[in-house]
Amino acid sequence: MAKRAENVQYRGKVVEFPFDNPAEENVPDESLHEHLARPTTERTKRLKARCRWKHAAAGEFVEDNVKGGIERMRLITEAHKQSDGKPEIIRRALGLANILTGTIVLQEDELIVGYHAENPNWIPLYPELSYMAVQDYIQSKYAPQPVEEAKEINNYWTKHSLQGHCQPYFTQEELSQMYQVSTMEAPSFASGYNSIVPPYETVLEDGLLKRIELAEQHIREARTQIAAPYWNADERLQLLSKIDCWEAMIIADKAVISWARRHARMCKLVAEHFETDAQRKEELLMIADICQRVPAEPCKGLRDGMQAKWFTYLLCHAIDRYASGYAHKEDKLLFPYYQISVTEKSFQPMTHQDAVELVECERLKVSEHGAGKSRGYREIFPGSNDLFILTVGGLNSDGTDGCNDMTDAILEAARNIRTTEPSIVFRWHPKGRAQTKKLVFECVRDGLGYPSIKHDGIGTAQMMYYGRFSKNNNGATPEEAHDWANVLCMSPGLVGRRKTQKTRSEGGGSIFPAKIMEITLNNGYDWSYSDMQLGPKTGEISEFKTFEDLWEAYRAQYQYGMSMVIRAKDISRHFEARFLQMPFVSSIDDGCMELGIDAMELSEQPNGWHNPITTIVAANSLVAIKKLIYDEKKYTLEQLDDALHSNWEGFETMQRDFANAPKWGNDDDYADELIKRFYEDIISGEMRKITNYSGGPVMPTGQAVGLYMEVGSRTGPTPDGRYGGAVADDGGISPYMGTDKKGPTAVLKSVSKIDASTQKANLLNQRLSVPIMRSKHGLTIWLAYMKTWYELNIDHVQFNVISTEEMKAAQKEPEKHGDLIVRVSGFSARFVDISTYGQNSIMARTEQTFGAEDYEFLGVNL
Amino acid sequence: MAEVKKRAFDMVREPGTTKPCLKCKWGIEDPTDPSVGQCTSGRTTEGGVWKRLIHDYYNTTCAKFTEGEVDFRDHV
Repeated sequence: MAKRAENVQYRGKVVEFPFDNPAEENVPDESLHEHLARPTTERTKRLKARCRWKHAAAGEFVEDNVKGGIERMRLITEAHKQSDGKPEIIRRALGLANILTGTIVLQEDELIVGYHAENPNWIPLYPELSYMAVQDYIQSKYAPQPVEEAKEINNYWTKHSLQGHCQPYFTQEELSQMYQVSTMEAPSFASGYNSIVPPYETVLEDGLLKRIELAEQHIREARTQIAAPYWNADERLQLLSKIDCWEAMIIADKAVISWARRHARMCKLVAEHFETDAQRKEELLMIADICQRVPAEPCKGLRDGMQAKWFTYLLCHAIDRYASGYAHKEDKLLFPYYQISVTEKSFQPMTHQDAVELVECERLKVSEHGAGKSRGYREIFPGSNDLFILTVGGLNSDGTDGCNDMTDAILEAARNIRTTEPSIVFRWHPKGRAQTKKLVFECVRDGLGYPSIKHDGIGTAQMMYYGRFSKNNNGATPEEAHDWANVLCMSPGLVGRRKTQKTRSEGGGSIFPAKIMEITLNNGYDWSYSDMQLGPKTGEISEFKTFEDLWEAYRAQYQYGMSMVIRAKDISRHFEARFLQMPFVSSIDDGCMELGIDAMELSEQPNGWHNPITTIVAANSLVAIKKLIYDEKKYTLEQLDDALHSNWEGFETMQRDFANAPKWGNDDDYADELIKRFYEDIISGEMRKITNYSGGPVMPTGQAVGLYMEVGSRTGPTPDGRYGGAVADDGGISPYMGTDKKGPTAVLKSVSKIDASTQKANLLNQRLSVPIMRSKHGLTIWLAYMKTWYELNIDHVQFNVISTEEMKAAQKEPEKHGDLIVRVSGFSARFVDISTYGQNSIMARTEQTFGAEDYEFLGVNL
Repeated sequence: MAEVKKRAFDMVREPGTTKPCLKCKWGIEDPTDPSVGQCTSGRTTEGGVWKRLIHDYYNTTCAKFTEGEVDFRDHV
């Protein structure tokens, strides 16, 4: 029998919580989620059953068949050697063109075609990015074969790779400090990790043939200008690199059209010579027609839009260069084609249910998408493939509600098919229509962990703010500022035909306040993990006579790390613009096309950010130290130092005192005032003193992904009462697991004290009670919660709705709970593909139930 | 200057050792540089791992050396 929420005495009456679906009274708590999947068609049911998941955990792939492919490595290397002597940007275009001559893949049943490696179980590797990341594969069981050829290729790229170009500008000590991922995340030039917001709109609206025409016209005009009397060096020498840029765009776009049309020929071949099922034959011929036309020509219907978008995604995120993410505002992008196909039925006519099926197919393509990521990134998204996050909702640029029937199709598909990827961000605005918000609720209630919710107003204002720093005075207009999506899990960035973020060097990467706390107390030295100096010598603890002395020492350690990581990103950007150009991406960006500047070099809209992860451990530690050492003088720093170096062993009473000190998330003024100051003065304040490549400030995006587990394992005991190796806090601004004891509205009150305009974003993880959310009052309560959240001007919130009973049952019999999904932090994961300890850390998060006080604060009518 | 307190670990660098951390079940590669490692033998009472960096993954060893692999469920 399912557990019902307890009755509550509220406003003079007893409120009961029967299930919204009465049949659920008889569904055991331990197996609820196994009853929730309802794929729209038999096709998507089949596709899910045979889905080639690429989940990773603890650095390893969960499925046996995954391994590195050699084809991409081989083809890009061949092209690089053959193009020696040509302009670098042309070499990059020729590299892409050669990769696109490789194997193409067509799988049974699929409506959207295209894969990025020679085998749908394999993943491509990127020796031109990081030779260390590829070396990790070579010495593992995932080694591409033949491995001797892979070694030879990787050796070739050691000096030509982005990593090879960037490393000489750091000392060996600096590289060791960054690479170990304890106070700072390793730079992208060493991990190969990346993100991008492709200008999908241009592909769907224009088609690549038009982009080629534009580039050809620009070249004609430039050549005319060069040849015209009277030669002027200042004006005209700059045209040479522009001509190369436009030529590279043409090479890239022609190669992409040719590659897409190979899919068309293959589908036609299979349809005419091999396929015996009449319906599938017809489908293949339709797919052949689509691939013949897109992305060469503008899209005419929803099937076109989905296919063109998928091809563009593969190119920008996997074939030309690796990038995590799936950043786009999908409802806005596809709604015009939804209207044509579903509403008007004038091209590729279909029903709304057909559109839902198509989105389910898309979700399953994403679920099969594997990334040749470094070990570090195979560790930090446990139970998932990678970060794939699309955005919906919000307001349109004219201020009207951005929710539409395509939004609903996307949400219905997510609710029905139940996959971890792609995750969804919903931009919340009071104008958002009720029917769409109900679908958001149903996804959350069903335990998907998404949509995660972003405050629409905060995001839009932020785009305007960053636009002020545009180097060419072409930052976001008030209309464009409404067109944003999360670049990865948390940070907004523009979408559209230009001004989008093209590389992680602009924004992304992490810094770890908990480990910085540890080394601050040890004069910059790491005694517990690496046995080396990780930061400057900011003083022995005997020198911290006042709390402010400690505060300033912390500030210095944090600034050291921040300056290093942004230096690393900008040095990477410098070399990306010289050796890692992206002519295809440039061809579909209106700014790059107009100005003849590659996407890695051009920056019109700054979007600088960096991710503090494990902030609350540091913050709670500062609170405990201030209270117990400086205010109450119950202990000395020397005593604390002894206790920490003993991992609290022999100091149990002291550990309890530090663990019981005021904690974040309880609307406690003592803790909250200090932590507000920490977020605004140090976490944000120090970061914003830095100016990045694009001329704008860098701002903090607090989040965690799985790094709260990884960095926790490299962090010794901390003054918040935590033991060595224990996980850190699981969000950017989430209370530490189990320490938020005053209910869900106390958490909101604490979080709302931090000025959201000083932060780029802050991830708030909350776990809500299953019986309350699945009761007949669930939607009413949740809407009231969200209204309050919005009015408190909080940036973000995401939810787990999952019972401890079900998680424990899944630990015992993982084979029976394959459909159980949890929100880790910033992404959702299959629960059974996470380590046991990671699973336990999710179970330890406070399951928020609502009491009468909470309902009163939210103003709920029950 | 105060004495630096270190964590007790019996890792020792022995170039050419036949029992390197690379082959030990408790050893995993560094997140970035595969010539560096992480020792996962330090287990916490809650089932977590308190790791230790191995600066030279190919030539370091210790008395806990055990060949084999650890399932991802028993890692972090």
